[in-house]
Order: sequence, then C-alpha cells, then structure tokens
Amino acid sequence: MPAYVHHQNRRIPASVQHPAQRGARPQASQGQQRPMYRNEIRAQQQMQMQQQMNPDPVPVRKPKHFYDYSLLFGVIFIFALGLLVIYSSSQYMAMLEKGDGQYYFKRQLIIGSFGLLVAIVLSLIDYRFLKNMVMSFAAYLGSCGLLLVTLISGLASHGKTRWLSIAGISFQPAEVAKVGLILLLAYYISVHGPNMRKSKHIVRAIGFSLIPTALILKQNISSAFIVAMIAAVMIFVAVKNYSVFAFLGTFGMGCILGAKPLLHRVIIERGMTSRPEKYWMRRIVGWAAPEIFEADAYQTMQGMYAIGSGGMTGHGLGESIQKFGKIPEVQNDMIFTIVCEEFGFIGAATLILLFFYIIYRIYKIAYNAPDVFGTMICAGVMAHLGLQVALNIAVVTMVIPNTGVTLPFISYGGSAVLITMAEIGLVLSVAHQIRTGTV
Amino acid sequence: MKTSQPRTDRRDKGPKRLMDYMAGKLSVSVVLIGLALFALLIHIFFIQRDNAENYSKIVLNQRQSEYESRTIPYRRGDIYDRNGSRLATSERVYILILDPAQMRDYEGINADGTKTRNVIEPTIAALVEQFGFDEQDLRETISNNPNSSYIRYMKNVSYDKKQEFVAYQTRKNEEFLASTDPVIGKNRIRGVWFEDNYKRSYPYNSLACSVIGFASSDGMNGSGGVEQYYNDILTGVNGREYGYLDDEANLEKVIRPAVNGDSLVLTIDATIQNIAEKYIMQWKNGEIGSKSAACVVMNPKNGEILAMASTKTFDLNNPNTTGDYTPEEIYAFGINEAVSDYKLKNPGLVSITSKEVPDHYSREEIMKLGETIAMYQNWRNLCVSDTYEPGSTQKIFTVAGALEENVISENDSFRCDGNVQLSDGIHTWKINCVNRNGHGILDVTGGITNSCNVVMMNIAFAEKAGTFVKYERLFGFGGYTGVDLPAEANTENLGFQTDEIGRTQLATNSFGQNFNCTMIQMASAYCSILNGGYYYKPHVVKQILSADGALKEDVQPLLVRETVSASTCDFIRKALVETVENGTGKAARVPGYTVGGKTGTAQKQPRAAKTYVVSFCGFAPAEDPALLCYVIVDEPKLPGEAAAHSSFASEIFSKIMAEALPAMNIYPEGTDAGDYQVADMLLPAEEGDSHQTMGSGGSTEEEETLPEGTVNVLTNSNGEPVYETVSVDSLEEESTERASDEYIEGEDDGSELPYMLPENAGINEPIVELPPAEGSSGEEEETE
Repeated sequence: MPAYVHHQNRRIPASVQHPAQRGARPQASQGQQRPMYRNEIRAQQQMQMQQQMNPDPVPVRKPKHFYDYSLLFGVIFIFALGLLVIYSSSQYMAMLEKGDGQYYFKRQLIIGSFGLLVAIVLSLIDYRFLKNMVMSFAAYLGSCGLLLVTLISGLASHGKTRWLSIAGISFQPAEVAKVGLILLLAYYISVHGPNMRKSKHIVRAIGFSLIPTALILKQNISSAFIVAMIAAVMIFVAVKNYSVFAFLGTFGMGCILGAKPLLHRVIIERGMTSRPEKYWMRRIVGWAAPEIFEADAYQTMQGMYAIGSGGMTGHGLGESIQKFGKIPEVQNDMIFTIVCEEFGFIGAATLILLFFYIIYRIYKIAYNAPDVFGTMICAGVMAHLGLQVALNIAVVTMVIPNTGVTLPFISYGGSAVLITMAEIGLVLSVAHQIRTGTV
Repeated sequence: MKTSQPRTDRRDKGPKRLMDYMAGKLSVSVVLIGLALFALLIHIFFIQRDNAENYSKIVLNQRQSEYESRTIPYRRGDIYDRNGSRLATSERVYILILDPAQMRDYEGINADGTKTRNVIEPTIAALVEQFGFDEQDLRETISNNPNSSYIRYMKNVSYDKKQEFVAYQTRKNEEFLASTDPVIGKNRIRGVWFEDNYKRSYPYNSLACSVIGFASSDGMNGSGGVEQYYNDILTGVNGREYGYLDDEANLEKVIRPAVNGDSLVLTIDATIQNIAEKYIMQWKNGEIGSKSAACVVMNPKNGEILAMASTKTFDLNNPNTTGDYTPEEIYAFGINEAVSDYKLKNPGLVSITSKEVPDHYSREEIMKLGETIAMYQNWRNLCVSDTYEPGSTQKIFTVAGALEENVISENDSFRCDGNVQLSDGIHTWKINCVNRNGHGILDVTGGITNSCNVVMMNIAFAEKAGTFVKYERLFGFGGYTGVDLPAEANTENLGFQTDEIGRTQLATNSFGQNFNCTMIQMASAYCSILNGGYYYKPHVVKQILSADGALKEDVQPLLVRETVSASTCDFIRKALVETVENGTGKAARVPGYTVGGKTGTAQKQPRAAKTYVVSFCGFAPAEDPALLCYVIVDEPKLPGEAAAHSSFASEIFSKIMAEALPAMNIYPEGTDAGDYQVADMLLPAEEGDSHQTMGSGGSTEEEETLPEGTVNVLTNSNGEPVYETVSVDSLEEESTERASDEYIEGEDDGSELPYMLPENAGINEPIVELPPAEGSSGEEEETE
C-alpha cells in the first residue's frame, strides 16, 4: 500500500467543520464528550475571534500540502556529517597550503548553506512551472550551450577544462547538464507516457542524452558516463520492456567486473612496465595492476590503505593518519576513505545506509508524485545520487578505475554541491505538491 | 488488470499518471541501487577484514618515515672580554633548502599526462628575484635532483632576508590564489624551506686571534685558543623535533629543545690587548722588524692573562690565510710536508727525500701542502706553543733560589773579570760576560742590574745544580704551566731533565741559555716573584656564564705552589726596579711611573748564526705591581750582533705600559685621571730615527766603537761603563748604541759554544770531576 492516500476535496461548510479535524481522520461523534486538546481549544478561540472580527467569512478551501521533512533533514544531516569529515580531513593540508585550516570547511559551509536555501525555495515553488516545452528545452539547450562554450574555450586555450567561469564564479557545466537532461527527459516521458515503448521515442530520448554526453566526454569521462546512466535509468523506468535492459545491464556489469582480472593478466603476460602515454590509460593500468604501475595507482592505493587500516570501528574522528598529505585531494573524491579510516566499517555502513535512506525517500516521492513529470524528475535525481554514491565508493575500493566522481553532500566541491542541493529542492517541490487533504 | 491502464483511482486530475509498470521499474531501480550499495559495503568489509593489519602497518610506516626527525641546532656560547665586550658570538642564520620533490608533487597534470610547471617556474622566478641566484644553476639543480627533498642551496641566509622571502612568497601565493586566470591561478611558490642555523662571528676580527681561536662553521669544533680549549663548555646539545606513534597510533610530536652552550668571560682586556697588538704590529712594520715578536700582559696578583699578542695575526672571521709567509717559505713547508705525505700514502715504498719531492709532486701540489702548513703555523699561539732560550730574564730565578737557600746573602759581592772558562776535558769554553773587560766587583743587586753573566754563573756554582734545578722547577720551568689554552709546549725535555746537570750547563742555564721555556712560563714565574712568592696558574678564562647570562662558574685564581719567601721577592723586585732605573733596562722606563724589569738577549742556535731573541719582562707600578708585561722579539732583522739589543723589547714594553697603565686606572704621578690623555702623551714619536742610526752603528759590535758623547754611558760602582744603552728619551736625535746583555762566545779557534751538552757529559759526569782545562777550574770560577 502506498503510504500517502489522496483524498477528494470535499465541500464541507466551514461553519460545520471543526478546525481540529484533519483530513481523513474519522470524526469523533458529537455525542461523545472527548476532552479537547489544548491546541484544539486555542484553535477554537482563534476561530471565534476571527468570526468576531469578520462576521461573514468566505469559506476557506485550501489544499493541504505534504512536505517531506524526512528527506530535507536527511540531507541536512548528511551534509553536516560531510562538513565534519571535510574539516577533519582537510584541516592539515589546508593549513599548509592555504594558511587556514578551515579553508575548505568554510567554503563548503557557505556554498552548502546557500544550496540548502536554494533547495528550500525550490521546494516551495510548484515544479510544474517547468512542465512545458519551453522551460524544459530551455534548461536542456542552455546546459548544452554551456558545455559547448566550455569545450570551445578549452580548445581555444589548447587545454582541457571542466570549468566555466561566469561573472567570476566557476562551475562545472557538466553538473548543470545533468539537471537539464533530467528535466527534458522527464518532460518528454511525461508527454508520451505509455507510448515511450515505441522505438521512435526511445531513439529520440537516447538522442537527447547523447548530445550532452558527447559534449562532456572529451573533458570528463566519468561525468559523461553518469549523464548517460541517468538517461538510461529514466528510459528504463519509462519503458515497459525489461529484457533488453536486463541484457545490457548484465553485460555492462560483466564488463566492469571481468575487465580487471583480464587486464591484469594481459599486463603480466606481456610484461608491460612502461607507463602508457594516455592519461585515461594510465588510470586503467593503475587500477588493473597497481603493483606494477605504482605511480598511477598511488592515490587509490593510499585510499585503500586508509580504508583497510580503519578496521571495524576506525581510529575515531580526527584521528586519520592518511589525511596528512598522503592522499592527494583528500577532501574531494577520496573523502570516503577518510570516513572509513576514522569511523571504520560501522561508519561506512552508516553513511551508505543514510544515502540509501535519502534514495528511498526520493523513490517514495517519485512513487506518489502527482504526475509522471514529477515521477521522472525524482527518478532522474535518484539515479544521479545513486550512481554518484555507488561509483565514488567503487572507485575508492578499486572496483572500477579511478575516475573523478565526487560523493554527494560529502565531498568538497562548489558547483556539485549546489546542483545536488537544487535537485533535492526539485524533489522536495514534487513532494510538496502531493496533497494529503485540505485545510 | 492491465498494467498499462492509468491508475485513475489515484489521480484526480492530469493527463499523465504513474503507470503500474513504471512503479515496478522504479522499485526495481531502487532495489538495484540498494543492492549495488550493499555489494560495495560487503566489498569494504572484506577489504578491512583481510587487509586491516597489513594496511595499518603500511600507513604507520609511511607516517613514521615521513615524519623524519629534525635537528634543532644549539647556539655556541659567546666569548666576552673581562669588561663584557663580545669577542665571539653566534648569529642566527638560515640555510635555504630546496625541495624539488615537493615542487613536482604539487605540479598540475596536463591532459596528456605531463606535468605542468605551475610550481617550478614561479618558484625559480621568486628565488632569482629575491636572492639573485643564477637562474641556469637553479634550473639545473632542480632538474638534476627531481626526487630530492633536501638540497642545501645557500648557507648563512640572514633572518631579515628569510623573512623578506617568506613574506614575498605569502603575498605572491595569495595573488595567485586570487587570480581568475586559469594558468596564473594555479601558480604557487613552493618547495623552499629555511633551516635554522648559527654562524660564528668575531666582531673584532683579528683581535686576540690566537687566544680566542675560531670555531667551525657548524659551531661544533673550535680550533685554537679558548674556542678549542673550552669547546665542551661552548658547545651545547642539539635539540630534536621528532614524531612517534603512541599506543593508540596517534602521532605524538615531540620537541626536545636544544641546550645552548655556555659563554666564557675571558680575563683578556680588549683595551690592553688592542694596545699590545698595536705596538707589536708597529714594531713588526717598523724600520727594523723581526722574524716575530710577542707580548704577554698579566696581572701578577692572580695569574690572569690580560693580553697576549704576537706578530702572527689572522682574521678570525676568515682564518684561512698563510699570513706573512713568503712563497719560498710556503714551498719549503710544502717540500717537508710532501715527504711525510708520500710516506703516508705509499706505506710500502721507500720514502723519498726532500730533493726527490719535485719528481713526485707538482709545484701546485707542493704549494697546496705548504699553504696548509703555513696556515697551521700562522694559527700557532707563540706565547704558549713556542719555546726559546729565554736569556737574561731568567737571571732573577738563579738569584732567588740562591738567596732563598741562603747560599748567598743580599750583600755578597762577586768579581766579574769578563769571562769564565769551562772545560769538559775535550773542549774549553770561555763564557763571556756582557762586558768582556769585566764588571769588577758587583753585589747581587749589581749582578742583576748589570745583567752580569759571571755573577750569575758564580751564584749558580755556589748553589749547586740540585738547588738550582729545584728552584727552576719551582718557578715552573721544565714543565707545563697548565694555562687554559691548547697546545702548550712541552718543555720537559728542553732542559732540567735531571737534578744533576753538568757544570757547563749549570753555568749557561744560570743566565738563561741552554734551556727552553715558553713565554707563559716566564711571565708566570715573574708574577710569582712580584706577588710575594705565590705561583698562580696562568689563565685566560674568568667566568663561565650559562646561555641566559647567569654566572655558572667563577674561576678563582689557582695557587699552584709557593716559590720563594716574601723577603726574597722583595729583594728581587727592588733589584728589578733598580735595573730599569739605573741598569740595563733603562729603555723600558715609562714616563710618570716607576717600573721594574729585566732585559734578556739570548743567542739562538746554531750559535754561529748569530741570531738573537731579545726580551724584556717588566712590571709597574714598582711598589705594588698591577701589570706584568713580557715582550720578546725574535730575530730582529739586523745583521749579526747588531740584533742583540734587548732595548728593542724594552721600548715595546715601555710603549705598551704607558698606555695600558692608564687603561687600568693607574695614572702617572702628577697627573689626574681627568686631564690625562693616553694618545697625546704616550704615543712614541719618531723612533725610526734611532733605529736607523742604530742599524748602521750596530754593524760594529765592539765596545770601543761606542760613539762618544752620544750615549748615556753608565758606570757601575766601579766606574766601569755598562754597555746597556738607552733610548728612553726617544725624541733624542743622537744615535744610540745598544749593547747586548751578554755574550756567549766560542774560543778563537772557532770551536762552538755548547748549545746542548753531550748527554753523558751533562748528566752523568759532573764537570767538576773532569780534568781541569787550561786556566779554568771549579774553584777559580767563583770569585769573591
């Protein structure tokens, strides 16, 4: 049974309905002498006062909205935990490099708080203002435009950059593109509904996804992969078919899990010792054969040492050893290793559970969303968060090659935090439009 | 129910509704995500279960090795003079350390995998700008040592310079950080460290160089002087900063601070030292000059050395110099050194002679070896490390011993016939007095004032070898004084090996020949006479202060032994005053003071070379001696016996005392401290004149050639002239003739005077038992 039951708006004269009576709650029979709660008394008094001031009131007919405090506070909690770990892990290096131990902590606190504010504001706006072709395409094309600008400016300066600076604020357009694609696909799916099973629509949806994927791919393989995977999950949800997805999913998993032993064998048998020229190839060989390509596996091996040395209960907050300059960019992609080192397996399990709780909340909202558009937004955000968390942990535990995937809400990183918070805001907005009755 | 049916029961409005299959797929998605996360959690569990111990070890090892301990250098103690002037100090400086490994670590990575130069380039630019380093050299150093974290690139960076660079680095890095440019924004200045260090410096450069000595740049070792002798006190203990992992694997950072070295307060008075050095150098650079000259100033009351100067000087801040040695001398040193060097390096081979050296060594190599030796020679402290035959200054100890043992009385008289003849049975020697015609009848005081060899020989014969040697030993000859300076010469085998010295040796020893002593021995022995018979250990350190300036040890004068009675001392002191007033030491007179002292002119070995060491050991004020000053001049640069004038030393003494006494708050009679000006009154005027005339006049050393009327010809009680002359009044324009104190002359047949008696003759066979040679016998030598 779904948890939230929607009720018809019922016309009940205001004069008849007791203000303390809520929604579907069975009314107490008038005959029974139930002592009134204090709030009921206060409400009654207010009502009376209102009637005195305005003897002929217009009957109030206001839908009662749901607000998912569980999700909001879940996110706040996990963000606060992230701040704690950022401070613990980055204090030493920040002191050395920036001269301020709280450098990363402060910046994360400011941008995260701002992100939370954005999320709350978004949550109070009806998300359906986005539910039209203009808005969804504007979001999608705008983000693709930003990607294009980044790509061109990167090409112009003969380098590759993931960052775009507008009015002095740097951000990663790839993050924006994720939201743009989620909105567009959600709109497209909501328009076509069950017709999504038609190959025409599937091809179009894939086409929509491939454009930003291709634009990002040149600069950031992992982000491109995440964008593609978000689209894949959304299409998976929208399309009735299982078998193709099951096949593709199994094949992909098999590739990932089988690649490492295979590559390792190839490297050993061929006696490969010289480092490959390509950067991404170095990461792959470092992942497949860390004992040979020590330099390329340095960051992840140091992360593995941190995870492994944590044990069941960890060293305790602030007691990480690896954070003292051993793990490069520890407050960023590798922050989960410090969680493992300081809080051990129990801490890691708790954090993963917290993430899963947030994902579960988003799933519930998707399930009960007022419309398919809302459902698909939630599905996209859920896919995004789930993928980021899973990929980040997979990277630090060397299940997959080292790619630059951040841990949502925990890792330091301005634009990623802001975008993730905004996505949560959209989800909260969807939740807010779930009506649980009228006031 | 058809799953594709819209779930109208749940939706009140809106065209699109959540299909059942969508709900199912959503659930499948969330379950898959959950499973993935669960699988990862299991993976983490296995990583931790299987590797916890191993990885923990790696982590701890890495941490431990990374946290290398750092040495915190101690500060070497300062050296002050007795008035608190800082003679040696340690300044805090820094060593600039380059860390190319860190620079590389923090470089960004280009898309093609190569490192950017975001750190190296700005850092090189900053170093070049701030320190003016050679850019090419910096680049090479960094690129040649890419994995090094510790390159000492520059030593002795001052605190100010270091602060300036650190401020510059901070400012620049902030600028980089604030920059919006993607390239500049990543630039950083990194990998430059500063390590604490100290640099030894000597504010007075060459002042008292041989007393102070110099310390190695790391402050660990001292060479020469108190820097060497008191090295253990001046050095401290290095501190350490290190980390260790405690039981809970927490890294504990421990700083064990350095223990700084103690400071020394010397007995040296920088003012007097300066005065002494000034006149020694004036002599050295004067018209005559000498091979070397040296001076010791002491406080007779407690054995404190106030000044110790010699012609060998060097800048303590830059001690590696060969001093005054000529290339020829250095080459000669090099030849000698090469011989032993060859022997050392080729232990199996036949050693080479000095003539073969050029076959094995190039001139450059020889010069290099020679320069090292010349440097060592230049660092020698003449006053404690060099020995010489003292000459007549020794005579007072011959007298003191005889008086003390009542062998003679103060009123005894002796006849001087100009010489004493001695024989060991093979050779016969005629030992001349300064006056070859003889002084006639002299009492004991007269023997000292006239520096009469014959009187001394007779006294020595009277007191016999045993007594003579006993007193020589009491006065510290033939041993060590124990002065707190390194490399004190061992004089044990340079005379007085046994109580039973031979007669000839006894005779020559009685006037200070045929045994060697050091300046510090002679000065200390004089001090014991002047203070009433107490022999204090000569010393240069007065106090030891802790690093924070607290008094740690007050060095008390150490009374080594009592030498002779106060009455004997009194007699000798008066005789010495008489010597300067009316005797051979007139050149030593200091206007406004009554001074006492004894001249000395010793003939060096080989005797035929006719080279001399002239000296003067004197004191002032006469009644209550506060300063003792002993000056020697080694080999005045005049030919033959012209060099044998103790007045060279006496004049230096006079000049030094004239300035040093006011500096000790002892003012000339008839003046007030207020209107007394040292420079005006006491700086000697043109002494070149007298030297010049003396140079020409000195070529004939016969007493008959004394220019009449130009010299204060002094007569003794017998009316005989004493050829000890005088240039007290150096403004006097007449040329002055300087007579030597004593002559030791071989027979006309050319046989040498014994400079070292044959061992068996000297030690085992007392000369009295030998068959008397012509005209000389034990009895005859003693005159009444």
